[in-house]
Amino acid sequence: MTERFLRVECRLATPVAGLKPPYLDSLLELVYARLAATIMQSSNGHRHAYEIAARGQAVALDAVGKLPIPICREWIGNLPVPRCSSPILGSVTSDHAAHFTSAFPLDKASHVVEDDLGKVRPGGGRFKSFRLPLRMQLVDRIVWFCVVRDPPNELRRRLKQIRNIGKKTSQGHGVIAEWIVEPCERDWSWYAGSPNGPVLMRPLPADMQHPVGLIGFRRSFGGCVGPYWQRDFWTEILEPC
Amino acid sequence: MKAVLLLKTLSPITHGAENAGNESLIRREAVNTPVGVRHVPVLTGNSLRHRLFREPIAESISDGWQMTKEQLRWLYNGGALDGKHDGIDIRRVERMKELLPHIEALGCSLPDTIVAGKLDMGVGWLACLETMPVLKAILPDGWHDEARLSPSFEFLSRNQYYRHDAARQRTELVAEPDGKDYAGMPHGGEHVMPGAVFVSALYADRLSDLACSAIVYALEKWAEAGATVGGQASRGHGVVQPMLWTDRPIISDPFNEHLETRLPEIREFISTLYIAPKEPKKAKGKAA
Repeated sequence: MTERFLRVECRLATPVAGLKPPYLDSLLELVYARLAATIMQSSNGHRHAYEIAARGQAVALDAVGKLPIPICREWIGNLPVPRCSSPILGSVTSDHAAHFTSAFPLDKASHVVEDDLGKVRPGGGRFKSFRLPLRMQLVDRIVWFCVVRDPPNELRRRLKQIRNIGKKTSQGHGVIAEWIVEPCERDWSWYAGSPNGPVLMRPLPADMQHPVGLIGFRRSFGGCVGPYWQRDFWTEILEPC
Repeated sequence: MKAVLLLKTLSPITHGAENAGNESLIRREAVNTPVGVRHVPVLTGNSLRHRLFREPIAESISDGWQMTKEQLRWLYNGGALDGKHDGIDIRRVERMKELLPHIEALGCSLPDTIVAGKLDMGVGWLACLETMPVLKAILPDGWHDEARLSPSFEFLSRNQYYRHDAARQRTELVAEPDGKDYAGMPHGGEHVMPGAVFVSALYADRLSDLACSAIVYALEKWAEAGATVGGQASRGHGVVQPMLWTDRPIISDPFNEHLETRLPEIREFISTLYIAPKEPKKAKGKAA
């Protein structure tokens, strides 16, 4: 098996919503999850492989790292840590808040049955209206460094299926203009060299062997394998800062 | 499904973001240009999804029918999670997708789970000089014309209205004048001029044929109802002429037929949502 070092760049057409841009391995796991065996066949003919699983549902321990993404993984303890750097943003030319709103459709109140007519409190309770902020970052590109097993054609093919990144993609945020995959001279997936010492490039377990003189990190408690929101896999980590 | 929606403005567009005093500012989004960041007027994807797709179908379903407040919110706004639940009723999710195929595109929140939609609704970008790189990225190959567009400020204008106070205008009708000066109030703001074009690119992966048909059905209903976006439609603002391109022929007939034949089932399904199960009554009498 030949390891190839790659630099993956995503050119963005519209601002990205959300606090953190996604990990490349997470994006690829989503693509491969869609290709995975369907859990059921619905009665109106379409398939769904993943949308029934609500956010926050437990993921079985033995399922972690099973999706065959092209990015190499290395076992650290019981965690298959992907060999892919955290997202590196280009120059953020605008960092602002947008808002999205929802309110009870009072103009349609004529459709409410007589027995249920009554007061709606838009300021609180179950019919509370909202106008929620959404952090928007206008950035021209996001770059990841990764290590893959096979020729990068498979990676290129799968990346084309990712059309948006970030939050609220259903509202047109984070539209990707172009994916660029090119070879890279060195492996910068976990650590990158610098005159002041090796720099941490992604969250890694704190109790593993790290290079001497590591810089650019802080200790934290969080995820270092996908799904990153799944607290069952959170551990003491070093994360880039 | 890939689609491109062009909205040619026929009257002032006032899709507001916030107010500055008594002036409303229109919604803008930042874009990178060769000369720096510029903020250009947009129609948000969130508002377009609601106005163009969810609301017209909800209108068709609720016409001449009544439901509870929670059910009304589910139909028009997508609903919300409700209280405690011990598991997700997958049978209900499947039943919903069978009866209401547009939910497959738009998503919703049932009482016990959030159902993701498949439709990525594009932001409605004003076709102008600043958004040319964005349009190049979102439009299908071969659509983009390198001809120079006008800068966004050339599409912007302002309006002002005056709200008169009847207490000042019709003093003879006031029973007990209190001596106060009931002055009127000017209000206004920015708008995008008629003649501008907004472009929104839609994309949905693995959307069923019936759901695609529902999307086109909703657009037709919205166009029949006047085709407005943004606010102040009561003053004649927000009228647009829509043009839809899809990557394959899609017609509204299948969904129209679906609604006509299965409307009673659809309403029966909706009437079961957000109804708390009745707790069994405790037996009267002395305990054994």
